[in-house]
Amino acid sequence: MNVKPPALAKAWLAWIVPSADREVLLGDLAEEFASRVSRDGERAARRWYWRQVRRSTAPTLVERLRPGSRSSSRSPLIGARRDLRDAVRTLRAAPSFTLVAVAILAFATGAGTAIYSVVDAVVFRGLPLAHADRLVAIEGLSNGELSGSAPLDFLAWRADQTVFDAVATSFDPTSVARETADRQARRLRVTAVTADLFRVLGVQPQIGRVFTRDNEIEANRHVVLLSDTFWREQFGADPSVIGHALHLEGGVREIVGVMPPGFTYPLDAPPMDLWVPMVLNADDRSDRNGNRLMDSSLRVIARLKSTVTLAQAQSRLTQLAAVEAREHPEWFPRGGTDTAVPLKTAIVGPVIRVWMLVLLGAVGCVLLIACVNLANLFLARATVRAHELGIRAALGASRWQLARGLLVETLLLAAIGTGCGVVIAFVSVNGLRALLPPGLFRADSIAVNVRVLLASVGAALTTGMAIGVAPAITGTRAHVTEALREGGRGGTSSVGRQRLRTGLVIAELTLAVPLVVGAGLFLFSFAHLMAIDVGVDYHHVLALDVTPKLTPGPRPLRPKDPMASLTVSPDQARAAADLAEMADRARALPGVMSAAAIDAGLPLSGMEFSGGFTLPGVAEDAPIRISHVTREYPMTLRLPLLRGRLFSPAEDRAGGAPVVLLNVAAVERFFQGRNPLGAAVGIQGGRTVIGIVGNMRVGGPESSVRPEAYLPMGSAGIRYGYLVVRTAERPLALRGPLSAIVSAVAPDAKPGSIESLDETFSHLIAERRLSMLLFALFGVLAMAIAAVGVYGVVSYLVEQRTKEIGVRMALGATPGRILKELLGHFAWVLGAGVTLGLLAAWSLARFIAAFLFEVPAHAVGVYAAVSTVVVLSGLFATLLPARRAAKVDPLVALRAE
Amino acid sequence: MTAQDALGEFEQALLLAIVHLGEGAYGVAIRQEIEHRTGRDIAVGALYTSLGRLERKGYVRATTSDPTPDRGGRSKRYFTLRPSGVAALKQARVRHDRMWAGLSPDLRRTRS
Repeated sequence: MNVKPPALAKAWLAWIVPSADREVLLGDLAEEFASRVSRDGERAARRWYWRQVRRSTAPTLVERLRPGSRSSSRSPLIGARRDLRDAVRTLRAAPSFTLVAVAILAFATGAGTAIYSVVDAVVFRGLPLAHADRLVAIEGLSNGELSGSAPLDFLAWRADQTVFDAVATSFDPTSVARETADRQARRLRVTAVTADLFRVLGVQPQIGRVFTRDNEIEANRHVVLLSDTFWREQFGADPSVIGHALHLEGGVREIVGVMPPGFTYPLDAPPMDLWVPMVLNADDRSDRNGNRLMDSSLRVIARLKSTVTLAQAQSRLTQLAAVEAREHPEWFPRGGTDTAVPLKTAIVGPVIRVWMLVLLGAVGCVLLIACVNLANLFLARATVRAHELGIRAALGASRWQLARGLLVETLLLAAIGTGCGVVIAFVSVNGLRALLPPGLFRADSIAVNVRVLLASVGAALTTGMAIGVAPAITGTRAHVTEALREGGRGGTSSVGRQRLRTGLVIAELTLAVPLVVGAGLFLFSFAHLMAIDVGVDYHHVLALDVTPKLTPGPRPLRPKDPMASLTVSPDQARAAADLAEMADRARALPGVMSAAAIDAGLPLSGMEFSGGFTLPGVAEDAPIRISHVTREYPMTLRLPLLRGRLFSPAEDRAGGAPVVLLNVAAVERFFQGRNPLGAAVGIQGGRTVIGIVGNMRVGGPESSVRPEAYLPMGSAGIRYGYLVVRTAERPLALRGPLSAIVSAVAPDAKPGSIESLDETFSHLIAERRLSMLLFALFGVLAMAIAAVGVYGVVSYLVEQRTKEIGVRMALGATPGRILKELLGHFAWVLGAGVTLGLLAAWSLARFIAAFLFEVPAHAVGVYAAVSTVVVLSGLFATLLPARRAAKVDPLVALRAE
Repeated sequence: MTAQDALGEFEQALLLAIVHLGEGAYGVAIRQEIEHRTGRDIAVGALYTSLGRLERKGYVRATTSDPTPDRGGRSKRYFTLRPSGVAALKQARVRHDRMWAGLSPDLRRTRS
C-alpha cells in the first residue's frame, strides 16, 4: 500500500521549517504516517498528520522569528522580511529615482481615478430609470438655437399615438413658500408637470397616487405630490398624510401621493420637494387673435414604444410638423424643426460630453507619458543594477533570490505610490466637485468610484510587477561576466538600450506637446474672456430679486400704433413705486454707496425683455432690449454716460415727461452719424432721447452687445424687479438689513434670491476657468515629466561617457566643445519629439475648438510659443547634466580607468 | 551553570529519551519513547526546535544517516548525548532531588 501524506499539510510544513531540519522532519513524519496507516487506517493517519502539522506550526515559527536563531537566515519568511528591508535600503539609496517613481505612480492612480470618477458620474453612468434607453427628449430648434417646445406641439404629440407610449412635459422648476408662521423657513422647490410624466419615467408613488389628466384643468389642479425627503422631514414619514391639505402661497393643495426615495425630476436640477399638475389652458394654445402662441418654454419628454426606433420617431415628428405648417403657414414665420434625442444626451448635452471626454483623453495622455517615463527610469536603473546583480550572482546568489529582491523592490514602490494615489484621488475629487460648473448633471453624486480606484491600484501593482520582473529576468540571466564587463565601462551592447531610451523620450515629447498646446489655447481663450469689458462694474454689487405680487389679469397687449403708450395696470405702477421706495431706504443703510432698481436686463443675469424701436423713416418696430430703471441706476452700476444727461427726478415719476436713454449700439444701429439727442423715437410710446450710455453685456462676457433702451421706472409699471445695491465692503453682509427693507415696504412681495454679482460672474466663467486650470495643470505635468525623461537620458549618457570625455579633455578638447557636442546630439531628439507632437496637436485641436473663446484651434502663435517653451525646457534638461560632463576633471576620469 | 541554562522539563524528557534509546535515538523513536513513558503526544515541530536548541548549547550531537527507502528516501538524524548534556541532566536531577528531599510522594513533610 502506498498512501501519501496530505500534500497541502506537507507543503506548508516544508515551507515553514528551516531547510536544515526539513529533510529529517518530513522523513520522520512519513515513516510514522506509513506505520499509522497500516495500524489505524488512512483516515486516522491523515488526521494525525494534520494535527502534527498544526501543532508544529507555532513552535517552528516562534523559533524562527527569534533573533539569533540559527535557522532564521534561511527561512523564506524571514527572507521576505529581509528582502523588504533590503528594498527599503536600496530605494533610500536612490532617493531621486524613488521620489520620481512614487510621484508618477501616485499621480497615475490619483488623478486618473479622480477624473474618471467625475466623467463616469456625469457621462457614462446610465439614468436611474427603467428602460432609460427608450426615453427621449423632444427639443425644438428655432433660428438654429435649441429651445423648448410650444404648448400646441406638445398637445399634438400627445394626441398622436403612433410612436410614443406616453408624452409629458414640465415647466422649469420654481420655488414656493409654505404658509407658516416661520418666515425663515426655506422655500420649497416645485415643478409643474403633466400627469403622464410618471408613466413616461415608469415611476410609481410609494403611497397614494400620481396625477391624472383630470388634474390638468384649472378647477382640479389643487393637488400636490411630495418627495420622499420632504415627507420624512416635514411629516415624519406619516402615511396618513394622503388627503391632507398643504398650505402653500397661492393656495391650498391636497396631498395625493408620496414619490419613492431617490426620485426627482427634472433630473438635471437640484432635488425637488413637490410636484404640482401643469395646467394647459385652452387659451394657452393660441392667443385671442388666433395666432399660435410662440411661447416655447416647455420641456417635453416621451417614452418610445418598444418596437419604435429613434429614427422612426424622428420621422414621425417631422411629418407632424409638416402637416401643421401646411395648415397654419402663419405659425411658422421662420421655420423650425423638432428633434427627438435620447434623454441622457439631452441632459448631459453633447458639449459637456465631449468636454468630459477631452478631459479623460488629456488625463490618459498624461498617464501615458508617466508610464513611458517610468519605463525609462526602470530601464536606466536596470542598466545600473546589472553590474550589482552580476556581482551578486558571481558571489553565489541564485537567480530566484535576485529576482525576488527586485520584485519586492518594485512592489514596495508600487504600494507606496498607489497609497499616495488613493489620497490624491479623494482630495482631488473633492476639489474638482467644487470647481465644476454649477448645474452640472449629477454633480452632487460625484464621488471617488471605488471600483475604478481598485482597478487603477490593481493595474499599478500589476504594472509594477511586470516592470519589476523584466530586469529580474534579463538582469539575472547568468551572463555574469558580461554584466560585470558592461557595468564596468560603457560597453557596446548598451547601444540598443540607449536607442530604446531615446525613442521613449521622443514618445514622451510627442505626447506632451499636444497637452501643452491645449493648455496654451485654453489660457489664451481665458485671457480673452477676462479682457472683455462687461460694460458695468459688477464688483461689490448685490442684487435682490423682488418680484412683485400682481393680481392675475390679461396680459397687456402690444398696441398696434408704436407711438401710443402702453397701458399700465395700477398693480404694476404700485410695484414700481415700491421698488423705488426700497432703493431710497437702502441708500440710507450704512455701508451702502448707492442703490437703484431695474426690472429686466440685470447685468450677468441673461434675462432680458425685448421691445420694438421705431424711428420714422429708419426703423419700424425693430427689436431692442428694454429695461426700466430708476434714475440712480447708471451711477450704481457705473454704466458710463457718454453724452447728454440722465433722468431728472421729475421724469422718474408717474406722469413724468417720456424720455429714454440709448446705448452706443442702438445709436450706431439706428442713427448712423446723426445726432440722436433730442430725437423723437417710439419705444413703448413716443419718447425723447436725452442721453447715450455705454454698451452692456447682459449674459456676461460671452454674450453679444445689442441695442438697448433704458426707460424711467417711475413713469412705467413693472412685472419683475431687482433691487441693486453698491456696497463699500463685503456685499453679502447687507443681506439681512436689505431683506428687512423689502418685507417692510412690500410685505407680500416674493422674497427671492439675493446674490452678489461677483459670485454670479464667477459662476458664468466657471466652466472655462475649470478647463483652463485643468489643462494648465496637465500641460505643466506633462512637460515636467517629459523634461525629467530628457534629463535622465542625458545624464545617463554623460555618466557612460565620463571616461571618454576625460580622455578627450586630456587631449585638448575644451569644455565648450564637449557641451556643444552633447547639446547637438540631443537637439535632434528634441526636434523630432516637438515636430511629431505639433503634428498630433494640430490634428487633435478640432476636438477642443468648441470650448475655446475667440481663439482659433489652429492659432499659429500658440503653437509657436508652445514649441519654444518645450524646446527651451528640453534644452535646459539637457544642459544640466551636460554641464557636469564639461566640468569633468581629466585626472579623475582617467584614474577611474 | 547558571539558572538560565537549567533544563526545562521538556528538554529533560528529550535528553532522557535519548539516553534510554542509546544507539537508535532518532526523531520517531524519541517521540514514541516519550509518548510511551509519559503519554504526551509531541509535535515534530516542537521536537526539532528543542533538539536544535540543545544541539546549539552543546548538550547533544546530531549525526545524519544515509537516506533509507522506507521513509521516502529521506535520511534520519540520530542524537547522542555529549558530556555537557550528561552533566546538565545530573545537575537537574540533583536540584530536583534537593527540592523533593524531606517530602513524601504525597507531599507530607517527613522532617522539619
